[in-house]
Parts: sequence; C-alpha cells; structure tokens
Amino acid sequence: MARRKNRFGMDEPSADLTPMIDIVFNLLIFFMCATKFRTTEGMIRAFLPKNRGQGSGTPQIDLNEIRIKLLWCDSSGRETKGDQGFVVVKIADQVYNQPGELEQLRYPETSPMWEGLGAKLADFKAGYKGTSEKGLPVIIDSRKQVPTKYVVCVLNQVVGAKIEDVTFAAPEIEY
Amino acid sequence: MARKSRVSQEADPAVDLTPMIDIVFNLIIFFMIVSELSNLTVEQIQLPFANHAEKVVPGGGGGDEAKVLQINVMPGGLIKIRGAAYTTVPELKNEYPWLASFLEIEAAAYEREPPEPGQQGTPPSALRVNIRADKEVQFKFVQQVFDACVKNGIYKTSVAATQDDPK
Repeated sequence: MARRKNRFGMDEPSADLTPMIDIVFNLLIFFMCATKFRTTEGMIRAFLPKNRGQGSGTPQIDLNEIRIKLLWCDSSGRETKGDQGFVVVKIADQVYNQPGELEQLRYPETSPMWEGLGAKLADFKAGYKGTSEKGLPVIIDSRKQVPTKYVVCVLNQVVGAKIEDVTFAAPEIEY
Repeated sequence: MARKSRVSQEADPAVDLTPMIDIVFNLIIFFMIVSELSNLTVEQIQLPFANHAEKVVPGGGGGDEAKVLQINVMPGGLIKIRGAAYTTVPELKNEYPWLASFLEIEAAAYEREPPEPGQQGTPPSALRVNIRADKEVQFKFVQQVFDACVKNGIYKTSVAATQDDPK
C-alpha cells in the first residue's frame, strides 16, 4: 500500500487500484460478451388425444370436424414424397395457396394467407352445429416433410380463432 | 483531475476513480443478473413465430414448472434434453439413446392421473412436455416426439414459439 503525505505532513494511506480495475474491466468485458438477452418465448398448448390416434380404441368421429391439411407438393401441385417440395394448405377442397407462394416470401409466417385461414376458421366455429362439448374439433394433418414453422402457423390461427379441440393427425404408416 | 496548488510546488496529479468504479461495478452486477451462463434445458434454436402463443410466465404457472420437460428438436432432427442427445430415427438407434425409452423412465417418476372413461393404454402422466422445435425442421421429427409421448401416457404437451416478429 503506497503512502503519501497530506497537507499536515502526515502519511496518508492510498491503495493501488490498478489491479482491481484490470480485473473489474475483464469481468465487465466477459459478462458483456456472454450476455444473451431472452427473447419473448411463448407456447401453444397441444393436448394429445387420449381416445383417438394410434394405439387407442374405437375412434370417435365427428362429421363436422375440420381437417386442415398441409400437403407437400411439387411445382405442379401434385403430392410428392421427396425432400424438395412446397407447402400447400388445404381444407376440404379449398386450397389456400399455390405451390411456392409461401416459399418465395422472405417471411412466410407473415403472409396474409394465414389471416384468411384464421378468418375462415372463425366462420367454421361460429357455424358449428355438432354436439361436442369442446366445440368445433380441428385436426391438423401435416405431411412429414413440411417444415414445422408452417404447422405452427396453422396452429397459431386455430388458437387465434379460439378453437379448443385441436389434435394432430397420427403420422402416415408407410407400407 | 485534482492538482495540488502552486503554493505547495508539488504537482502530483491524482485521478478520482471512485465514480468510474461505481459505474463499472453497477454494470457488472447488471450483466451478471441478465446473463444466462448455463441454461442446459433450453437449446439455441430458431423457434417458429406465433403471435397467439401464451406467454410463459416464470414462477406463474401454478407451481408445476418442475413438471415441464423441455424437449429440443434440433435442425437436423436430433433431440436434446438437458444437454443430452436422443433420437427418434431407427437408423440412429445405435448411436443415441432412444427417446421413447427415456420418456418411459421420466414419466415413471411422476404420478399417474386417473384415466378417462373408456380410455385405453397407459394412464395419463402428470408430466408436461414442451416441444421446442427448430422452425425449419421437418414436422416428422415433431410427430415422432408426440408419438413417443402418447406411448408413455404423456398427453399434456405444448409447442414453443416466439412472439418476436420475424421481420
């Protein structure tokens, strides 16, 4: 510890702060580099069917249920088994997008097509005449090659339409 | 910068470091609090966007956060749970542990709820699973996780999504 004289000529202790400042600055730089700010993460509940799907008993079929299909098609709109393809969203006979329409967008999640799908689902819900206590049953039937972001976009619109009975179709069984 | 007066005839410059040290310490404390140094349960992946997703409130889920198992589906389809790799692909069964076997052991640690009338198969587990899948991963890998959950009586599942606008 260094000492210096004060104005009365007495020794005044003074600490050498240089090593401490070095360490403190190193710590600061480390924490600045290691910090990763949390992004807003949410979750969508997806209760799996206890009485439907694989390995369960007799399936309960509601004739009013809505099946949203996420197909994996080639550029001509025909279904393909290959890894290269385009997503096509379909409910019954209504096709919501053409092959490649979503893929050409930089942010396909923000396509107005999804809002249209959400509005259609809200109409289906309002017009539901079935007997299910949970309201309109919706089944999301996605082909295995479809990127998860499109499935979550559909699930997002289903949740946005306040539909509670959502299930995922069991995966296709290959022969 | 403090200097002694000319009268003392002694020029001994001394910088007052106290405010700087205060600020630097405050910065260190701030970065220590906000940084996540080792969060093994949550992998760095790009989550899909969903603006209708429920916000995850830490400590606000009725005290059952401990029962939520985070399953990360990595871009190539590999499954990571608490930093360990698992697989759902039969071709990789010799390289990585099988996910369904892990979930069987995990679900056994939780109590089973009474089955619904007419329900067949494994009684529902109290365990909740949150699937954090990379947005570009093929849905078949997520389907396989769902399938492994159903086989072990885990019906309470959720899919993680980001609420940050992709733009």
